[in-house]
Amino acid sequence: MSRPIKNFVFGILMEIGFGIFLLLAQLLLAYVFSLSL
Amino acid sequence: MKSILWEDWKTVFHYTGVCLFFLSFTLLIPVVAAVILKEFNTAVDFSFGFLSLFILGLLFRLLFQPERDASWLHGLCVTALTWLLATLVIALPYYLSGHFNSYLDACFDAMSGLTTTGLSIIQQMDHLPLSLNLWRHILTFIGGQGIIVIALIFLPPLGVGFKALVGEGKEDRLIPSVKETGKAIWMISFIYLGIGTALFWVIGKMAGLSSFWSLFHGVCMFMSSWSTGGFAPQSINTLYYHFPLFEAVCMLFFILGSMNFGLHFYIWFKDKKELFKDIEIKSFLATLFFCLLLLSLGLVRSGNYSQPAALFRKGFFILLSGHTSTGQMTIYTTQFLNQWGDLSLLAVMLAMVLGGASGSTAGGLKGIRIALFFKSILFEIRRFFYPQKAVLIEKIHHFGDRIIEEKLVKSALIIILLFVLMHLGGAIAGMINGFGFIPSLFESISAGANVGLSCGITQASMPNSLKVVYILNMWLGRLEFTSIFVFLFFVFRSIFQLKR
Repeated sequence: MSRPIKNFVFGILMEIGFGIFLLLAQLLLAYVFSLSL
Repeated sequence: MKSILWEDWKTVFHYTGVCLFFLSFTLLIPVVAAVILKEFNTAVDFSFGFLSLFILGLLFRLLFQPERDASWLHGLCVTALTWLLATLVIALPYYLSGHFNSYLDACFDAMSGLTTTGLSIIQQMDHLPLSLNLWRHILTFIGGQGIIVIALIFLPPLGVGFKALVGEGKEDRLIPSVKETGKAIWMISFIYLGIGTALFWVIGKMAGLSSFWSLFHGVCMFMSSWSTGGFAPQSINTLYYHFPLFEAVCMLFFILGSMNFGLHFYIWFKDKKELFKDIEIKSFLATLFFCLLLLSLGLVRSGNYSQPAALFRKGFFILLSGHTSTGQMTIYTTQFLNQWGDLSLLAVMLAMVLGGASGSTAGGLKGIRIALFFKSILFEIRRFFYPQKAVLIEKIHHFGDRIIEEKLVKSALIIILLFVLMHLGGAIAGMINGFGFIPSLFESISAGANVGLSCGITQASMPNSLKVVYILNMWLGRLEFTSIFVFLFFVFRSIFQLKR
């Protein structure tokens, strides 16, 4: 795979990873909030 | 002040015709889909819609030849007029389908789709022809990227190019060429269309849908989520699926869809670190966390969703849906007022007001304006801690470091103020029609910020005057006032000149 294509694919994966991370962080928050509030 | 001449009108009409002409070809998609699915009545309805828009665009294009170079005034007027005329014509096949009580209802749904709002007053949604249902979602996909963006791609140099694009809320040039910027926006959306549809298809199969239905729901739900639209193929929206993974993927695409197209482009082709530096991402994370905290306090203390999974799937889903201006729902509309309580509703309203990123498919105030607002407050406070003669410079990071200038803050504050006035105006209209303050404000914000969450006011039986107010709010909110105000001023000034 050429470098620009690698960069491009990695860019998409990074964005999706960021989205998933944000969802997991919210799930964790939901646990923390429901236990502590 | 310069006079408005007939030549100005000819320039505006010509380029509006160009945009409508190219937009008309998108109406061939539901025609083809209807023929394949053997929904011939719907095929006839959409053929009529296609011909109407095609002829209108062609007539405007040929009858009115521009005799002067397009200015900012023309570009902004073209955007406002194109969005208005497109709504009026696209509503025709909707009305002919028999699923709307009146032409006004059809216009409401067309404007809601184009502006990616997601409020709907359609009748018997669960029995819609599939091609019509598919088109409603394609319309949000088109509206999310922008009508002007379509025209830019197919055209040789469009005289109004960048000026009309700015009127549509896409201010960042991804590439120096405006035409290439248009292409890049569509490329990003189509790549995610492939990824998203495949993902939804797999999850749909896991949820028990057949291959065909997984594909149909997958395409529709991707377009709805990515475009931060909020429509769904079924009347009970995302609640229909009852499948946590399906909801999680919707949330993933709300987030990605509410990011600036420029940021996607930057991450893919330039600098990946921009994801962690961009002020709009930081602003979004800060406001999201604050709203989540408020919502959790409201929901958990009032005894709703005490289980973490329920809090995430109902509460956080709705909040994220509101903050990204999507409007998909995993609860019934009546639950907002009957169960959620004032604090939770306030959190959702605040999230809806704030919205997604600039230059994205999302509505609302936008992250950059919120960041500018808070940065300017901090700047005013900081000034007292330095000598009087010190020159202070405040910066934000948005595709590189930018110095915050006074005119940038002023323009952001004006738009924020106009949004607040529009939301209050919509709330007053709701109260005049007999609804309470909270539901009126909620629904007004939802329409004006192009969200689509509803607490029950939006239905076919609501007063016509309120439908008109919400249509105007959706139009104003999507184009962020400037182009519409300029267009109205253009019209009134022309009339005033004629009278003189």
